[in-house]
Amino acid sequence: MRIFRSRVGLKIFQVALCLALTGGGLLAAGSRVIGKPNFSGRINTEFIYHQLSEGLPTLQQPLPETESTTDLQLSLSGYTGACRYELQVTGYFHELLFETNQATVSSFFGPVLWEFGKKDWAWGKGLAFIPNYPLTQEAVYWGFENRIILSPFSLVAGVVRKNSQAGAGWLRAGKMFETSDWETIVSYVWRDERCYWQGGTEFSWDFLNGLCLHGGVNIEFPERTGKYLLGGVYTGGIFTYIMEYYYAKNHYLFAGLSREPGLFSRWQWGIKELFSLGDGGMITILNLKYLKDRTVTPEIIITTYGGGKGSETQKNPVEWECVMRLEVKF
Amino acid sequence: MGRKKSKKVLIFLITLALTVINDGAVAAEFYPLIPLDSSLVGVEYEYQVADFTPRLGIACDLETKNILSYVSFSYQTAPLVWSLSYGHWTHQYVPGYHYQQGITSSLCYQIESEHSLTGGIFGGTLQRNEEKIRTGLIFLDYKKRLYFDWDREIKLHLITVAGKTRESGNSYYATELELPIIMGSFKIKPWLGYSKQTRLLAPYYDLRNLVRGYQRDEILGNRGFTISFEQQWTLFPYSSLPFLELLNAVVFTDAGGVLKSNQKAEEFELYKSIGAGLALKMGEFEIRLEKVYNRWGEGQILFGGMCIN
Repeated sequence: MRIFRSRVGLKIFQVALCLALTGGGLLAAGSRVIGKPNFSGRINTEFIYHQLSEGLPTLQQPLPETESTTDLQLSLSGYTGACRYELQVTGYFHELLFETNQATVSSFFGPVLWEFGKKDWAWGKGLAFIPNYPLTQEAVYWGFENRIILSPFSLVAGVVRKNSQAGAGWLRAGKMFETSDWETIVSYVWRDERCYWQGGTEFSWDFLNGLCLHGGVNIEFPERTGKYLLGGVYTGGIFTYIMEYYYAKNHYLFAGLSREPGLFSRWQWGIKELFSLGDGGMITILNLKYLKDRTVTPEIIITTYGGGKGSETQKNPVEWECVMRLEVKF
Repeated sequence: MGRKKSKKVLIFLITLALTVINDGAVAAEFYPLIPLDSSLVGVEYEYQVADFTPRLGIACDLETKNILSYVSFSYQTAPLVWSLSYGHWTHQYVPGYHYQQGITSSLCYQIESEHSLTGGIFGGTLQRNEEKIRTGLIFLDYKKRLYFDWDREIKLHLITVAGKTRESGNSYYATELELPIIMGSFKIKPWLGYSKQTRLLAPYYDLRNLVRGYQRDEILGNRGFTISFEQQWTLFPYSSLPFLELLNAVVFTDAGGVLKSNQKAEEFELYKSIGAGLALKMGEFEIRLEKVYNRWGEGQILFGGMCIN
């Protein structure tokens, strides 16, 4: 269409889509009738300070010393007959950009749950790393997925495409046990005009005493390069402990300690450490969140980049950064 | 220019006539604009017909002597209010630009009482002093009352605006956040602001609007942080005399600063002020008379936020 060829036309279309989605969703949400579409939204605003390395010339600085971002995410979901639809649009005000993060339709066809559209198709149990997902995490792709569930077995077949240069297809066969589940994955990936095969397995195991283990292995052909992950989460009375060891071109150790808000305290805090075992690099993330109000959550996040001399993180031009974030849900 | 002014005066006279001849068949209201929060004096008139509300406004800016006017229509279908307006009126989204001339369309979602989200678009001209810039912008305005015993000024408020200038096509962005905290009768009001400027359109913050006691256009910047501490006491809680029980004593201190786009964070300078005064609290409306001293010991008397000495 001609309107999409002009940037102004495209922008008007995006704004109109956003307003239509907001209006339609709000009207639907206002009616509060079962079966009607469900509308929700989120605003995320951040004020960021980067402490840049001393002596870095101004022209070479990759980031401004201070910046701010604001995004508005609107979601609409519901049923049309036997089909479920989900639509999610995000407006990035700081970039003056609107994007569709999710636009999917799904339904059952006998025992098959099919889903078509655009979304982040990532799966896996890893918190810092997912070895078997063949594409970039937190990226959206157009795709199609079929899921056959014949309890305790399941079979998933999917194909997704970003463009002619990037995409993947996969077949995942899984079995659920009483306290664990296992999955075997075969995938075919094309990126930068080259094709690869990948094969691997994933598991998760709940010991029913607060400890859950998870892991996975993946090998890519024809180079026979491997990626693997072994991790666990222990949820105690006061703290939650996370530990993950993974390998993807380098060896990493990820550790986390967090305190969830309780009956008398609305504060949530956490410490996360990412060690690069190959070069001694270290990233530390501290966060503090106040969760009294269910719709408004302020948070402070401090990230430091350090570790061994000559490590990748030590070469990072940002020494540390502080983010003041406010999340609003409605 | 004279023809334009006469048109505006005509709109005002029609508004006045409609108010006077209103026979009560429809709900019509007439609001005066008093120069307390701003320097505007004038009237707004609305005429509700079912879910539609046409509205007219005419005012004079006492500082610039400009005559301003607008016409708008809004349509309400709970929980939404859609509105379309056209005119030359005050602007509230791009910091540093006080007037707009053009068309605005907005959609307001009333989530709950005193909890709303408004989004919209504007196309036209923004004005600062004599400088006029043609632009198109989108805005987002989120407000939530976190504490029920606070007045209208003290609530969580997030404003974001982004747009492009017509001449250069460069994009600008500004966001402001006020997140109040209450501890007994002690009020803390932190404010954060950031704006990305372009060569033609440069949003900025005037410290005078954030830290009391400083002069207009004295300290300007495109990002900043301020915090205000305030305590109020009812002076005559048991008085039966009119207005006296509404009179509060106020002490406050403000601190903060703004940075220009070419300044680094380490150049941040803290400007402080301290003051005391009286506040006549009438529900959502508050009239204040304050005496404030800035960091150089210079004193100012403020009435309704405006310097009167």
